[in-house]
Amino acid sequence: MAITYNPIDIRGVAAEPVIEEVLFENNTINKSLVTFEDDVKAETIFTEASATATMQQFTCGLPTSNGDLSSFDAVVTPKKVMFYQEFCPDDLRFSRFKQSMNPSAWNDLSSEFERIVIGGIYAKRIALSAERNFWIGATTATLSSIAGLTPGAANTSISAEEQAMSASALGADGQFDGLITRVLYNDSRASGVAGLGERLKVVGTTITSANIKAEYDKVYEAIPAEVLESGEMPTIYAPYSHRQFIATYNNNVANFKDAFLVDGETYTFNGVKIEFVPIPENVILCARKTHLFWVTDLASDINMMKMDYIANNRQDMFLKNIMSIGAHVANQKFNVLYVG
Amino acid sequence: MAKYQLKEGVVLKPYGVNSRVDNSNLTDTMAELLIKKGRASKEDFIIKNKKQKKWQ
Repeated sequence: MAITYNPIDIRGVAAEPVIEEVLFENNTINKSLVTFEDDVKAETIFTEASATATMQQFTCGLPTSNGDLSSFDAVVTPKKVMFYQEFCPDDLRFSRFKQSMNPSAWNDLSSEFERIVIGGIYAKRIALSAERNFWIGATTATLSSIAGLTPGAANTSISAEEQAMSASALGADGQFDGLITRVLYNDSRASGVAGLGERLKVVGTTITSANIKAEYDKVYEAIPAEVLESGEMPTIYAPYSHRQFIATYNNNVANFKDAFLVDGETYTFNGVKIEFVPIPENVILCARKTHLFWVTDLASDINMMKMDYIANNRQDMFLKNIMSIGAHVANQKFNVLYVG
Repeated sequence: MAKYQLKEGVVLKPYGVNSRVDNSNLTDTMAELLIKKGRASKEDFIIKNKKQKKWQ
């Protein structure tokens, strides 16, 4: 793809900053919002174990085995993906960027362009694309499977809301199943057969600043008590808009102020931390961070971009980024998925 | 045959800016759900009446 640029032939002085578009931060990686399982070249096995202990009456004679010890493996293979573009640096020869080109007609690569557009905006876009696909990616095959499920009220059935959300908001670049898709539909179970996820389903509504507390109450009440009582606290993963809804809710003098506590960049609801991630509106996921996995070969691949001449006898260049990426959800029956 | 069809040019975004519902992914269940939740109005759709005339 050529550089799309409408330059003005540089005559005087160009203002120092090149104004960059405003982009979200990739907080999933920057703040490690999920568990990173790296060094996975092709496959990784996740094992889940559970047990049932049954007390029984003592007997002097032959005892009866009672209870259950069980475990199963789930194999996750990250998808290898790439970002690739070609461009001709000579397209910038008449622009402001010529000021940062080295002398000689051989040199037409602008260090300013490289720093701001390639190493800055484009690299950020790659990181954001990876993050977006990690959360909401879905293959057409999985979307079709979800659409084929019969909706119902029970937790063992998909809700009409989940189906509508899946059809309209999941997919992204369609290379692999992201986290929300895996929560809804996966083969991470003892049978290994793909089917509806075992998440705890909460049917919601359209979330606004007026009803945000009531809707978060539904999520909080659906968290299994043992998740709150033992070890690591879960995290509420919410869409970006909820930061504004929470501020508006808290600014209303009539509202109870201790539900949503804000301390700098830390948001909590009833003591459960809230993190804002690129998931669809009216969707909330509540799970322990250790139940959610970003599976990859090397997490820092996201920052590795190769740029070089396409061939020794050519002056046009390529940009290439390669990474492997996959999502996995463990301990499904302890994770709450709210869809309105 | 589907009961609901979006009028020409109508695209719904019921789950935020990155969501999209057009006639390629619309189902009757989805249309009824979106109307019920207030994320679409009946005016967005061409609603086909399934009632058959009784012939004597």
